[in-house]
Amino acid sequence: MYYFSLIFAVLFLPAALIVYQLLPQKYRYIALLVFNVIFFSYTGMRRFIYPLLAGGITFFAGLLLEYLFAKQKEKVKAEEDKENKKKIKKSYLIKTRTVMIVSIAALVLLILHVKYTDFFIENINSIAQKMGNDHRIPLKEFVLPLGISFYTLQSIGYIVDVYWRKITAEKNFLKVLTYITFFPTIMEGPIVSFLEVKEDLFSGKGIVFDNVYSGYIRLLYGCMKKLVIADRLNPAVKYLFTEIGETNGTEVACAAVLFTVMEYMDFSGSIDMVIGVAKMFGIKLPENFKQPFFAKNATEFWRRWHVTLGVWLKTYIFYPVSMSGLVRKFSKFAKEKKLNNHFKNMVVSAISLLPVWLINGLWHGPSWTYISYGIYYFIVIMLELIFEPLGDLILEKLKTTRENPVVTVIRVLKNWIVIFLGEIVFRVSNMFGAVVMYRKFFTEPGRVFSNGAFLNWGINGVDYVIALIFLLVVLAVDIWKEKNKGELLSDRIMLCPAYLRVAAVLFLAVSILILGLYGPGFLEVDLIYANF
Amino acid sequence: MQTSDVKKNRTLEIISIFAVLAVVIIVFSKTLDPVKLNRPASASDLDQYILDGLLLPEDTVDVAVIGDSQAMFSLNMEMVNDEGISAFIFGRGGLSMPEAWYTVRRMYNRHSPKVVIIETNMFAETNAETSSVRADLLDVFNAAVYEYLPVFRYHSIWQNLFGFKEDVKIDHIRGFNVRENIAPYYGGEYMFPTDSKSKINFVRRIYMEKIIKLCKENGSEVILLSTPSAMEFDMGKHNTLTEYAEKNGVDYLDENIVWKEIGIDWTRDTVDEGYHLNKDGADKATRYLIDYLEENYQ
Repeated sequence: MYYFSLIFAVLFLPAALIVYQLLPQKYRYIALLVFNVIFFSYTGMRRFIYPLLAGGITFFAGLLLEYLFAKQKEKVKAEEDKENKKKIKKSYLIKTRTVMIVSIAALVLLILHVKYTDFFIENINSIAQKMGNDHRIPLKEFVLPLGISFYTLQSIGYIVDVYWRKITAEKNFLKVLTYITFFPTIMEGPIVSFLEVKEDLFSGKGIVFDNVYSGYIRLLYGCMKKLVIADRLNPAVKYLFTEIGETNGTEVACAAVLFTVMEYMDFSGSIDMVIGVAKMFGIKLPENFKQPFFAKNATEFWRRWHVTLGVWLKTYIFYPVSMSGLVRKFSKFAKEKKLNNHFKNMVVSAISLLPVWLINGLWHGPSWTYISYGIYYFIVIMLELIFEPLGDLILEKLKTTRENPVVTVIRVLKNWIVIFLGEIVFRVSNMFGAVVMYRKFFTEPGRVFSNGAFLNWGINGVDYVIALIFLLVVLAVDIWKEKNKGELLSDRIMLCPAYLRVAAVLFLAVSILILGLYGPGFLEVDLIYANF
Repeated sequence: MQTSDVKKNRTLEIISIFAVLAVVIIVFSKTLDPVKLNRPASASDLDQYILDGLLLPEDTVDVAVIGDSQAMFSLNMEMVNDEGISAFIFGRGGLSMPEAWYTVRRMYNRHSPKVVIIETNMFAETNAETSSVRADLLDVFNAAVYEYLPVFRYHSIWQNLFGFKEDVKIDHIRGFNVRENIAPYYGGEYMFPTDSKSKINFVRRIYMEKIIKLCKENGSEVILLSTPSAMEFDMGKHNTLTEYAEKNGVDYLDENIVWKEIGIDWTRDTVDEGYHLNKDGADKATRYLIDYLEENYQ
C-alpha cells in the first residue's frame, strides 16, 4: 500500500485517525502501532520479524546502557578515592562502549544479511570466475523488508544517543517499536531521531481539524508531484537508461536531466505525503528537502537534498571520525611539521568525508553504481574544497564576490551539471552502462529535438507539456519557500482566504484525478527510495 | 465566538470542496466511459477485451466465458463459433473475483447467454502475493471504485477524445488472445495424486457464489472450467474445485486431469514455460471443451 493509493487516502488514513482519536490519550500510540503493523502487513507479515528484531536490539541496548550508567553512578558515589573513581569510570566506559558496538554490529549484520548478502556472493563468484574457478555460490535472493534501511539508521542513532546521554532510554518496548515502524516514515523516511519525535509521538495529543486539513493539502501536493510529473516521465527515463546502445550523447544528457527531475518529484513528493500524514496526527517531522536545486555547490546541495540522511551521516559518522584518534594524531603531526593550513584541512576533511560518502553510497543499495555515486560526491566535494582558494582569488581579480547574482547563477548552473552527471551512475543498472553513457555524453553529440527523437521515448508531446506546466507550479512553490525560509506553505495556506485554499485543493485533486497516472492500464511505479 | 466561527467556516469549506469534487467525479465518470462513447480502443490494452464484448450487438452471445489470462490464452473462440456456437471471452489479465462479478453483471445487461463458463484460475490461484485475504479485500475496494466511479479507471482517455493519442485496437478473436510462440515446459506430469486440498479464502468464495447465483437467476447454466496450466494448477486445486462444484450444484470440467487425453504437448503447446497455452495448445483445449459442450449442453 502506497501513500498515493486511493485506499490509503480514503480508508486506511481516516480509519487510523478515527481510532487514534477514540482511544484515551495515554494509549493513542498503541493505535499508531496497530496501524504500523497493518501498513507493514501489506508487504507480508512474515517480514515483520526484521523490525521486531531491530526494535528488540534497540530497546534492550538502551536499557542495558541505562543500567550501566546507573551502576557506574552508584559505584562512583560510593567510592571516595579519586583514582578508584577514575578506574570505575574507565571500566564502565569500556562496558558501555562494548554494549553500543555489539548492538550496532547486530543491527548492521541484520541489514547486511538481507540487503547485501547477494552483493558479496556476486563479487566472490566474479573473482572466483576470473581465477578460473567455475564453482558458483548460489544467490540467496532475499526480499528486502520494508524500510530496513531507514529504521536501521534510526535504531543506530537511538543507541548512540543513549550512549552519548542525549536521551534516556525508553522503558516501554511498544514505544520503541512504534518509533521505528511509524507507518508514514517507514517507506521513505525522513530519518528522524527519537529526540525529535518522542514528545509528539507519545503525548497522544488529540487530532486538530486544521492539522488534518493542511496535512491533506500536503498529501495532495505530494501525490501531484508523484502521479502527474514523476510517473509521467518514467517511460522516457526507463527507455533512455535501458536502450543505452541506441542513444547519442544528447540523449544521455536528456536521460540525466529527466531522471533527476523524476527522482526529485518522486522522492520529495513522497516526503510531502509523509510529512502531511504525520501532521494529521500532530506529529511534526523534519523537512527532507530544502529547494536543493538552488544550491551553489555540492556541499550545499547535500544540506538541501535528503537532509535527514545528511544530518544522520554528519552526526554519527562525520563528527566521530573528525574527533577520532587518527585525525587528532594527524593534526598534531601537521602542527609539529608546520604543514600548510589548507593542506592540513584537506587531509582532515578527506579522512572524515571518505567514510561518510562510502556509507552514503552503500546505504542506497548493494551495487557498485551506488558506491561509485558516493565516491563521485566525495571527489567533487574534495575538489570544491581544494579549489576554493583559487576561486576566491579569481573572484578577487574580477573584483566581484560569490554573492554577485551573475556569479550565483553560474555557480547554480555548474552545480546542476555536477548533479546531472552524478545521477547517471546513480540510475544506470551497472558500471559498464555508466562508462558507455559517460563516453557517449562527452564524445557523441546528436540530434534529439529537431528530428523529434524525444517523442519516441514512450511519452507524447502532451505529456511533456503537462509535466512542464506542473514543474512550473513546483518551481513557483520552491521559489516561495526559498524566499520565506523557515515558513511552511502548508501552514501559510491555512491563513489564506478560504476561496484560495478551496481553489488550491480542487486544483490539486482534479489534476491528480484526470492527469495522474494510476489505475488499471498503468503499471504502478514504485517509489524510488522505497527500494533502498 | 471567533473559534466557533472559524470552525463553521472550515466546515463550510470542506463541504464545498467535497461537493465540487463529487460533481467533478460524477460528471467525468459519465463522460469518460468508453462504452458510452462506443470507443473501446481508447481504453488500455487490458480493458479492451471486455469492452469489446460489452459492445457486441445485443443478445449475440450464447456461451460466455469469464476469466483471467488463463481463459484468454486457452480457448480459441474461432473454433467455437465455427461449430455454430456464438461465444465470447469476457477476460482481463489478472481479473479479480470482484471484477469478474461486476463484469458478469454488466454482461447480463447486454446479453443472455445460455451457458456461462467460469475459468477457475482467478478463483483458485494461490500466489502468496495476490491470493491473501488482504489482497482480495483490496480488490473488492478497487473493483467497486472502478465500477461505480469509472473515471478512476478511464481517466486518461481524454487524450484520445481530444486527438492527442490515437485509439489502438487490440487484435483478438472474440476475447481469445492468440499467441503462437513456444517457450517449452519440461517438467512433465504435474497432477500428482493427493487427497490434500488447496485453500480458497472467504472473499473469493463470496464473489463466486454471487456470480453463480446471478447466472442461475438469469437462466444460464454454469460450468466451472480449469484450462491446462502445468505451472498454475495441481491436484490440490482439482480436489477443492471438485468439492466446491458439487456443493454448489454446478458442473466442473478440469482439463488438467486429462491433459494427456487432450493431447497437450508441454514442450510445444505453451507460450511461457507451462503457465499459459499457445494457439496449438488452445486449439486442443478448445476441441475438448466443444466436445464436452456438445455432449452435455445440446
